[in-house]
Amino acid sequence: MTRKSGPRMTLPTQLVLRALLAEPDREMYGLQICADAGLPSGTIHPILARLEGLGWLESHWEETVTAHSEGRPRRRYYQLTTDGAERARIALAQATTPVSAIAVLRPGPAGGAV
Amino acid sequence: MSVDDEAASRYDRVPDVYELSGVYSAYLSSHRTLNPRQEAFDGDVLQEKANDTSPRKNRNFNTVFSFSWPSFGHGKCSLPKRLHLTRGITHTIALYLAFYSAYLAGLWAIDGAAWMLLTCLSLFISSCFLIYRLHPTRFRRLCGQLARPRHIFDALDDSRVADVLLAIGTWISNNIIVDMIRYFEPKKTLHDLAATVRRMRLPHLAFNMEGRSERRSSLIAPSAGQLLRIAANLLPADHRLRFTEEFRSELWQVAHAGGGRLQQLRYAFQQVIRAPFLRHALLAPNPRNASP
Repeated sequence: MTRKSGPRMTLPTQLVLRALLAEPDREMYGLQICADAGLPSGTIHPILARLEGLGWLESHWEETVTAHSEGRPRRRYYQLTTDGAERARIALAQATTPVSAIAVLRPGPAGGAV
Repeated sequence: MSVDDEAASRYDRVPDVYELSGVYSAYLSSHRTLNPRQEAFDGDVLQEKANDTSPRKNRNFNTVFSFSWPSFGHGKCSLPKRLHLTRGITHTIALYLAFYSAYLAGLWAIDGAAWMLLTCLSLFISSCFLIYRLHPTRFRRLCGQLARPRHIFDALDDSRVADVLLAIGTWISNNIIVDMIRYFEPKKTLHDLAATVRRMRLPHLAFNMEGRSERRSSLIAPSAGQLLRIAANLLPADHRLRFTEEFRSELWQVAHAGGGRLQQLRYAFQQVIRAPFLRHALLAPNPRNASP
């Protein structure tokens, strides 16, 4: 069995992709993705790192000036690349466990997100 | 002698706090010229007359009181000098708590946990009742007075049992009072206490309290920060700095979104638990690894 070029489409991965695809042009930081995906905070970083490694995602630090003006530490923002968004849609469509089923499993946020 | 008789005789040897107070009262009566502020200590009510002696005059006076504690022999205790700077009911409560705590320590030494728990409950109820009557300003002043005075350590150095008991009692009293202040006056921060202590010329206490206050005002639980440091250390060295900053940023957001210590710890714990997975993801032979 040959390994696919994409990530393993686990339920959390699908939830993260779904959250990111909701507004592909929007930059989101970690806790935001947690809240949108309804996943605990520790779960998303490995997924984001894997997606970033595959080139589906890109991330960058927030401008220090912006963060300081709001009196908080700077955030790391994540955004789907154009290619990544396209691949994510295809991967979600081909996923053996449809995301709609996940909604039944997880009717609300799973906690950890603020 | 049966076991019960022996136990009963042991209880008989434990002096009641009021008995101790009575001895103290007698002592003060005999030394009225040295410390004229205390007039009489009758039962649990200390009646004080107007203070006609300046605090400066009393500052160098160290109360020494003796009492009979059959289990440990006759004792002679010195109360912290600073207690003499308190006035009126504040002084009463301080002494009350010190005596009661010494009594608790004695119970603990003699009979162990069961009596200790019962008496703790009694102490708590009594203290609540007394503190209810206290004026808040005096209450804070009392806390400052009892906050680990140097004299406790002097007493410990003397290696006298009675002094050690009193020192422990005073220390317990301090903790009880601080806890009660937190309970009754959550909006009165430690800054107020620090200011009070500074006015009382105990700068080392003020420093400690301010430090605690600042840590509290920053909202971030230090234990959660430590856990995040552990999580970051589990990651590959190239990515450590990035994730340290990212985790801290998220912890800050958790804290400032109203997350208490437990929520922060939960966040940090989740990061630690998932750190091996993150490490695996970062080290995976991907076409383009995540840039630090």
